[in-house]
Amino acid sequence: MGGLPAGRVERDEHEYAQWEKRVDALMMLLSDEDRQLLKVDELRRNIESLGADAYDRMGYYERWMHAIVQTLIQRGVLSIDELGRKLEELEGRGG
Amino acid sequence: MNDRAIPVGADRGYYRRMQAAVEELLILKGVFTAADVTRQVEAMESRSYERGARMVARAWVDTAYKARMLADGSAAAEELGLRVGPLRLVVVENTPEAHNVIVCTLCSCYPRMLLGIPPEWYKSRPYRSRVVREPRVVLAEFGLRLPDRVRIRVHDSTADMRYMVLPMRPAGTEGWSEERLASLVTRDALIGVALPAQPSHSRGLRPREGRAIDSPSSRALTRRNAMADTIRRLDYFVAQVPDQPGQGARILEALRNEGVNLLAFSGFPSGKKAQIDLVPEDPAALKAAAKKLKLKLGPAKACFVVQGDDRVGALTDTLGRLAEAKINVTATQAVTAGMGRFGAIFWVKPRDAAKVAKLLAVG
Amino acid sequence: MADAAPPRFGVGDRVRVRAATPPGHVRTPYYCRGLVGVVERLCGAFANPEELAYNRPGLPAQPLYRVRFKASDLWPGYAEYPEDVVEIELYQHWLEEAG
Repeated sequence: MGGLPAGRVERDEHEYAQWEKRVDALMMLLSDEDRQLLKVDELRRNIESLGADAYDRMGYYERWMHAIVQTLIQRGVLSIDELGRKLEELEGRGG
Repeated sequence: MNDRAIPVGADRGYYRRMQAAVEELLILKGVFTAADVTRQVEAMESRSYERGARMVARAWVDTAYKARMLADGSAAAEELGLRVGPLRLVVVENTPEAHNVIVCTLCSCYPRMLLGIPPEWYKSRPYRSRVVREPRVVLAEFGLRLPDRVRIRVHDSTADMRYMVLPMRPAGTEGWSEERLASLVTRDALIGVALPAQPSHSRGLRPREGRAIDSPSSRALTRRNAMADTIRRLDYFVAQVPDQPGQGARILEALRNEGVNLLAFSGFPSGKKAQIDLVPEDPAALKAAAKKLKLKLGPAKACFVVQGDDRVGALTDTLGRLAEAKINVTATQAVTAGMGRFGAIFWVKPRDAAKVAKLLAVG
Repeated sequence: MADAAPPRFGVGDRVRVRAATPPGHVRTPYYCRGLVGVVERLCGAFANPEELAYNRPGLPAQPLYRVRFKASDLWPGYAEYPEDVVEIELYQHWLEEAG
């Protein structure tokens, strides 16, 4: 997106939430030498595939979490069904 | 292929729950443990711009280290005991002729293994779109204006290298320890949207960026670091005008037409007239313009202009030092400028000006 | 690196960025495509991210260059500061010789 028109740079900053830090950690662990369960390039491709609307609507770590899930599905590390069941279980626990 | 990024009925917490779900599933599968995740979080929290500041300080005092750092930034980091893993660090040097700015227009690549997580604005659409195309405008929004003769090098981290700026060492730091030098180096200076703090009365305390929280630890949430403000002694000139509507506008418009840049301006009633105080960037230019406009100016007198990062109690240190020296401040005005900055101007009696200049270590 | 394409360019060479528009994940910014820059340094050889993005090996590794472009070449109307530059990392398979 270099060179496209855009507004002012907003410089407010905030402390990241725990879940956001854990998304970052997830990315580091899964891409490390020992595990190599995803490459950052796959994450970037999945983020780029979001399309402009979703991209702008989503927060930074939401986009990365989306990309991690998509990549792990594409790699066959996780199945859609087990993700669905785990999410259901967490909602049941009030998570 | 699912091309709806957020499923029907999803709420703001959806990705937070997804993070928890993925983490639990991967722990169950033995990919990692919960402790691994926590350790990773703590490792990232422990990385901050201070690690880069240490490298810069070392380069400022040791020219051989600087040469090694410019040749191979990652090896230079490891030399100081800074673990950077697979990071390929390229350090780019600011000189009197060239100023460097770092961006990743494609995503948000940043030397995280050295400096930790980048600021949000660095990852934002406006920064990534604009700094590569209109760097001077963006830098001006950050409060940085470079002289015309300086060229800008924008580095777009499009591939495997990551970048850090080596700023120029501020004047007036001869003989400083590495630790004290490092305290002048801010995160924004390492990205290139700011210069390092200049030495001042702040006794080498670590400068702060705007309203940023640099260290992620909870202590940092309540800690506010002192800022190295700039204080300058400047000439100001007094003019008398009728106390009527439009007088200020008339003078300012006339000066604008002559290209005279003012650093400060103050107007107030004085007797039956009004007094205008003009603080020019270039006194000679103001005097030439005043002559042309037949505007009578008083002789040059001293005032002091303070600029710095806005924070609660921004002026208390400066005024406190004047109070300790029993200097009676004739007048003061201060105002926040937005964008995390403030400016202030204060006047003292002419006989106190030299004493104040010495006390605050200003030119 | 064993499985790497040999470097074709050296520091100071003028190179043109191909004006291609392949699908998928590409690390060559749009704003430099079709334009000419000068090689500032060779960074080493790296697996091709366009292939890595699809979990493919991306070999042979491609030499990666830092290429310097004049801002006035990249952006119409940038004449005010003719010395300003933008430096971009580009993979060899995107570069061809320029005059």
